[in-house]
Amino acid sequence: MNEGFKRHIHYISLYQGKIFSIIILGGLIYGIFLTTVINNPPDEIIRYLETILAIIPCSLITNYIRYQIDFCLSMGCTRRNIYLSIYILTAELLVESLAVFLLMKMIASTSITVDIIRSFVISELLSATLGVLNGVLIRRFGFAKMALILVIIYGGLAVFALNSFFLMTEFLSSPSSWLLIIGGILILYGLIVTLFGKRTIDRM
Amino acid sequence: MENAKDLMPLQCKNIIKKYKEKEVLHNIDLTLESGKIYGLIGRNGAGKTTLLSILAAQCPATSGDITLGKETVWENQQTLSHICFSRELNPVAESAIASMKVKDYLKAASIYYPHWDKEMADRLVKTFELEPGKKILKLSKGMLSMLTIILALASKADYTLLDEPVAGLDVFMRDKFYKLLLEEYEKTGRTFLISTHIIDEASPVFEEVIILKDGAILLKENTEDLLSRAVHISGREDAVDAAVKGLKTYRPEKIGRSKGITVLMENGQEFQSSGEISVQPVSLQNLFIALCGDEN
Amino acid sequence: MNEILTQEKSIYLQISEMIENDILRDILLEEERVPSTNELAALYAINPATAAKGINLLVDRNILYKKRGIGMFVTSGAKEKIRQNRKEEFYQRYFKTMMEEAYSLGITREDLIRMIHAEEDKK
Repeated sequence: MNEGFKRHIHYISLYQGKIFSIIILGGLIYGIFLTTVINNPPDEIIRYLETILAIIPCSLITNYIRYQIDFCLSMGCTRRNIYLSIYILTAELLVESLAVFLLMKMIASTSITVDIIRSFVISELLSATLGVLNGVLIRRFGFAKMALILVIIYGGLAVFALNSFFLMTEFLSSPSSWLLIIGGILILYGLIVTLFGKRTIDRM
Repeated sequence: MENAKDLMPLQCKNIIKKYKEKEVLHNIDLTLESGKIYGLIGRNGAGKTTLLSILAAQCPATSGDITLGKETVWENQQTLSHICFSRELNPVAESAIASMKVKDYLKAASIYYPHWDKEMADRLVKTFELEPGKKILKLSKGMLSMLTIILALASKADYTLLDEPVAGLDVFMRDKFYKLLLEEYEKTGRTFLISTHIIDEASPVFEEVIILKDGAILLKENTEDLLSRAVHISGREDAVDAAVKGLKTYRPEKIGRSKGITVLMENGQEFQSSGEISVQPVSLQNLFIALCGDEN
Repeated sequence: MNEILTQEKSIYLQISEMIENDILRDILLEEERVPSTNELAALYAINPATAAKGINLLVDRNILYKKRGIGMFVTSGAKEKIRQNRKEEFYQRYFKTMMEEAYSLGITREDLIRMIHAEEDKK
């Protein structure tokens, strides 16, 4: 990966810190709200809140495209590096949002234990820190190594989220098709956004 | 001076820029040799900002090439790392820079510019009395200009383009800017291309001046050479007409029997001086007005 | 030094004239070092290439010479040389204009001679 891309990712990682804090906060509030405030929340409320939660990272990406890109271009960043960063940003947010949803789902659909909440908080902090450290990691280890590290950690996160077979079977036995729909929408949105972002840049 | 002078020139070849169907830059050919300070002057709407933006590959040309030495500039990270385009900051409420603080902006610059001189940036922030913690949206026009100047100087880019860096600055600050620019130029031999509306003040600093008129380059010449070719002739109309016969003239002014006119001679040409006409040198600003005013 | 630059004349010519004026006024002495191109450029806020042009003009006229690695120096006999040059330029610079002005005002040769005598009597 060239120097310019590393520099751009470094800058983005500073910007991401803000995004991830919002996601964590949103996820925490959602989970706590569902599990402590409302007993047996009706499906509609769950879907409504999940949708809102899904919109947050997407709107943050859109915000990035609409405003940050102009700034990055004015600092001499190439369009190619910006496309790449959009793909990376979108992929990261998708993965992490899905992880949040899965964990939240689990917390909402099973009895909470302190362990689960603790693990969730730790895993989310870890993924947020990684997002912020992306820049450092890329500069230190190079893109390939960094990608490997991220895949391992995010993969581990996903595995952890789906960890307990017991939870998984219970989870899947009453399949929440809504989660799958949201996941699908997020992926679709991610694709649209990267395309949209590319066209926005091309028109600048 | 250091090896900035070894860099090949930054060149525009046959640049055309169209917005929708309107052509705003027509067949621009421009060579910026390294190690000079160039001035870019032109009326509002002549295309200065567009040209600078295209030179820095931040805006795509409709056709034509920009090259640095043998390399193209467009989307070329290597060559782009030698160029800095410091444009006028216009913090629209929702834009990325609006909520940034001065120190965030400079931190971002330190990330993007590989040769960033942090010590110089900090020193200039103190000199200009900018508050690092202040949001860009809250800065006055003058402070915004100071920030663009800091970006341009501390970037240490071999080719630095500044778009109206003195807008909003009072006369003392403008003076400071010219001094800082010359100081940096003498130390490093970097190439600067500066667009400005404050022409006479800046012209002694420009080794060469480029005049952009209606999207085309009217002239590009050593400033002193250009001014030595320009005179203003006035007197009785027939005497003036006789004196300037065969020469290129601009912006005739008449009142009663008196006439004044600006003349731009070719090399080797002379006008016929006589006791009946007044001959005066023309400042760059007045020459620009004569060449680019509406009457032509 | 310290004269103000005007728009009336090329900057590099003004630079060379200023240095010559200083030599005539004993502000710069022969065999003394003259401010460098960079010092002049900084002092007057002008492009160093312009300052260099002014200095080179004086080098061509043998008013200044370069000591490698040290700087520009006033040549011996520069003061006299400048005076000579200016005597020759006197006609173009002052006399011709005066004559043209006198002619257009109808001042005769006799009037001019009378003025010259009157000035000399004052001294």
